[in-house]
Amino acid sequence: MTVPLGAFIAVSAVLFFLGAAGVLIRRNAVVILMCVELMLNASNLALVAFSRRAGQLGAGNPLDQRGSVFVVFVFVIAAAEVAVGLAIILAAYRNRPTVNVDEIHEMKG
Amino acid sequence: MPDYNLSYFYVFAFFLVGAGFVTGLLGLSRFIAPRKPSIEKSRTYESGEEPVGQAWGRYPSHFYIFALLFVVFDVEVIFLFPWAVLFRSLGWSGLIEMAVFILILVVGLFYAWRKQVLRWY
Amino acid sequence: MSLDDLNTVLPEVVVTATACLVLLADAILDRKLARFWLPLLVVLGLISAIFSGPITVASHTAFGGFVVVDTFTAFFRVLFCILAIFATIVAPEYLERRAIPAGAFYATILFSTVGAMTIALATDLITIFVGLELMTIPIYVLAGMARRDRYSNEAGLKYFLLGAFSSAMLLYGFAWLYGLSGTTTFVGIAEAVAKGGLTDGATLVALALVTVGLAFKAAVVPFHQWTPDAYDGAPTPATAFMSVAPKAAAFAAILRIMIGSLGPLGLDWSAVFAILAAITMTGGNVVALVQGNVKRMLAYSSIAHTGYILAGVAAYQAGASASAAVLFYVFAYGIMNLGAFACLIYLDLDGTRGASLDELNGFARRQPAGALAFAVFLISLTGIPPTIGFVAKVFILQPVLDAGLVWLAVAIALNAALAAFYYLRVVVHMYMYDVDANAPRLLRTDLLSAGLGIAGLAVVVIGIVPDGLYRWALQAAAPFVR
Repeated sequence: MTVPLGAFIAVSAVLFFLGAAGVLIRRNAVVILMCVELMLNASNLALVAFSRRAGQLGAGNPLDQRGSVFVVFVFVIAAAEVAVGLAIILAAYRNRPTVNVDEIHEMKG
Repeated sequence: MPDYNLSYFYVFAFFLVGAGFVTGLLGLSRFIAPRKPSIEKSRTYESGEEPVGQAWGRYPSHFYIFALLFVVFDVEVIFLFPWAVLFRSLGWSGLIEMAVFILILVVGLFYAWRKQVLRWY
Repeated sequence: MSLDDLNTVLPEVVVTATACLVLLADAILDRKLARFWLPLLVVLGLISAIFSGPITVASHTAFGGFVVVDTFTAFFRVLFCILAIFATIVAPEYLERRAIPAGAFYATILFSTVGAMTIALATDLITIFVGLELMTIPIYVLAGMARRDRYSNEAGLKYFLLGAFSSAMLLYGFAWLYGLSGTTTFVGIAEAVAKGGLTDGATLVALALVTVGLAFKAAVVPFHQWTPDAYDGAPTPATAFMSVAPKAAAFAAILRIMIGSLGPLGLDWSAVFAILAAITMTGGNVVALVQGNVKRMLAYSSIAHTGYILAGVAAYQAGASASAAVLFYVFAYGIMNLGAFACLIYLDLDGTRGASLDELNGFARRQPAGALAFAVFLISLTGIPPTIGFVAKVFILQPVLDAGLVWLAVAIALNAALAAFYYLRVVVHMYMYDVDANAPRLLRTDLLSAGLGIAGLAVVVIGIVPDGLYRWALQAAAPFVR
């Protein structure tokens, strides 16, 4: 017996919606960043699960290569995004010590 | 090949054995070791720095730069692993490609170094 | 990878190498030398990138089908390089005045340009996602580059949080597209989608997520909230670049994905796109109308232009002329909008703030050349002949009518009339009003004037003889004709 594809997809959907809800509800910039990472990892889980399904439909490899390679690239992009995001949050924090996105609102109109 | 659920059973068994081993040893030491507590002994670090404040305190953000550089240069490994596995079949062109890739990262590191980012204040 | 593969992406390699050289030069040279050499190096690198790629080429895939070079790619390569050149020319004096690190600024623009060019190359979900992120992540940096300025902080933060959110949505949509087709290539996805249609839920989920993700990137109402703050708060040369290149790249991605891989579902999404286009142009224009700050007004007006371009996408059933109109409009918008934002660099204000209408009073008397260029860009943005903006609107209207979207054509015409009011108000303030006593100082800017002169001339000349560019756009749209 193996875990069916649907189970993986269900978990990834739950993770994705948790992340999306977090982005919309939480006001702490760092927490929002973490929620975005959760969404990216939900996509990774879905990609790996689909990659296994595509591999089983095809011949040979247990995993379809394109889906797995996609995951590797997403990892690297996520790391770059975190690095830049934290730097931006830190620069804002140095000028005014808050990470609450509702308080960072000077421009109007 | 073992059944799928059986492998979960193995994991669970490992968990039980591990947890039992640790609690068993700790309990044993409590049972047989002499206990004479003193103020000096019950501090967090018996002969080190006095702990001050909460663990939620703020850290100097210089550390953050190093953490960040670590993250950036750490994820390159994810490309190095598949490359290393296929090293022989990729041949010389694979070696050159990876050299170029690393070189681009080194340019970034060199820039950070010249711009005094790496200086420890 | 073979040398042939490398040769295929030579322009991208050249831009990447230029970016690395700029970083090295900035690290080694002293300040005086760097001030002169860095912009020159960037411009030379970008020009050689333009000439290292073919202009007309038969479709040619490389890197195991991850990359394609066709006429569409060639068009966008040239466009992105031109935009990066203009953004570089207008920046040096501003950067020096505000003490923004110039080397980092140019390198960031170059990396973003490589990302944008990668999107135009993409024939695979992986390539397009990597390209999108390589384009956007440097833009977050550009927006927040004036680190000590609170507006710039806020711009960077808002752009980053919403940009990362939209990337995550897009990626989840890509994961579903991969799941339902079993492949990441556009051709494979198009085949799978054509077979299945919009009958199952998975396709609908993928379509919705991808549409929302791309709508965020292109700043389509109601996914535009980050735009005004990001454009308003970013350093002005950065705003000039980020208001055009990412938008052009977003439309390159929209054409590649929506038509190239989801084209078989066209009947279902084109109606949605038409409605989004109408909402976007109206929403952007109405809010722009009440802005007192010119930079913010231009930010909202750029949303309105997204709407016009989107109308061209929605009319894709009209065939090649629709995609060509999108390409032509993106090109026109790129030059005139970059120029309009860059004209604000003349005013030496605190921080990254843009000028208010009153601060532009009598600008024509104080800086005649700059005011003339600004007036040309504004007239072009309004869509009055003989400018490129007028021609672009005509080219958009034609396929919209051909596709039977008469109501959308009417909406475009009404919106153009509405936009005339707030664009020409700026011209009136520049030419008809007296200089205020407390008008802001002007920056001494020879390079900026030269760059704006070239851009302004291009706007008028292409406005009078648009045939060459339009024919090129038609060629570039050829890969999307089925």
